Amino acid sequence: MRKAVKIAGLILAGAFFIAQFIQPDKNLQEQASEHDLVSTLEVPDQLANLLKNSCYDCHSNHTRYPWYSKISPLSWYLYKHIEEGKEALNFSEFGLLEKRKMISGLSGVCELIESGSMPLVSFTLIHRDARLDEDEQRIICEWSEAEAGKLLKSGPGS
Amino acid sequence: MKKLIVSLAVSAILLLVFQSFVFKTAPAPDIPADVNEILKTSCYGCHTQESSSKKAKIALNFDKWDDYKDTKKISKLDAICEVISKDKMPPEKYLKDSPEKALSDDQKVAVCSWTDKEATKLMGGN
Ligand code: HEC
Ligand code: HEC
Repeated sequence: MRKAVKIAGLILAGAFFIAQFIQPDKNLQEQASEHDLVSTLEVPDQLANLLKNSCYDCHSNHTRYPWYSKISPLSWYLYKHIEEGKEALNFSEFGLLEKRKMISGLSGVCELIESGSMPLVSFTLIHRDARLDEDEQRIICEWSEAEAGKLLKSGPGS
Repeated sequence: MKKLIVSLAVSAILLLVFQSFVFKTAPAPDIPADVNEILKTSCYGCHTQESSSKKAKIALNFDKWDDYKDTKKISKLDAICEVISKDKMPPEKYLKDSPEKALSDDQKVAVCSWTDKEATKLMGGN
């Protein structure tokens, strides 16, 4: 019995060790994109910092990887979120969207922050500093609603 | 004669006010009858005020449509077309019990052309 446990433990440890060599691609575009949200809309510095700290890890072409995020299988879990997050909304390529998509994206930002769906809870559990307090939520919401309204007022053009 | 005109006018106004109460059940956006029928069959069960799913109501509530900002309306119209095109709505789990509520390709086209038209209108185009 004790031997069986020992062997199982060894196999698990071995699998964990080997898994460290199988890692997903990294999301690490270095230069800032000219189509980034901050170059497309009016984004006050405080706001840009909030978004970069709480959202850009999954919604841009540049993720910050703390040490634990490099451990497989955690790295794969994060990878999947980055893929899906970028597909839903990529702040690095915000400027390439049609106006209508920009409005939808901004409207979604406030809605999902208010409902507590974003940032993902599984992310803020380990990334404590990505959590948004109520004031920060309100600041982002007011900004994104105002920007969406401005875009809408500026007419139907692309 | 004057009295008659006045009372006719007053009853006409009352009738109009009354109508807007009685016919309130048709949700607010300008929905053509065929699209309304599709939404009634497949979506209103979860996405109106009477729904027991709080999550569904928060995501989209047709009874609250008038309270939505125009930007939110645009966002939701596009989301409606997106979720039905990707077969995310009605939810798969729900379709297992009621497969007849799945949308046919024709129905998807009808809903999407309506959402696109409404969103274009809201954007200020025609
Ligand atoms: C850990 C990764 C992660 C973080 C951090 C994160 N998101 Fe997301 N986000 C996702 C994923 C994954 C999706 C796609 C969810 C889906 O499709 O169900 C998503 C979807 C969204 C959407 C929906 C877009 C649509 O098409 O409906 C919005 C808006 C959004 N996120 C905003 C934010 C904002 C604002 C922040 C920061 C406050 C944030 N997210 C932080 C992973 C993340
Ligand atoms: C069985 C209940 C149910 C039915 C039927 C249903 N939905 Fe949903 N819907 C939900 C739930 C629950 C959510 C919230 C999902 C979440 O929060 O992940 C949702 C979310 C949505 C969203 C929000 C997505 C976003 O990103 O804003 C849209 C749009 C939507 N549904 C459209 C529809 C349409 C159109 C139909 C009919 C073709 C429909 N739903 C039928 C339960 C339902």
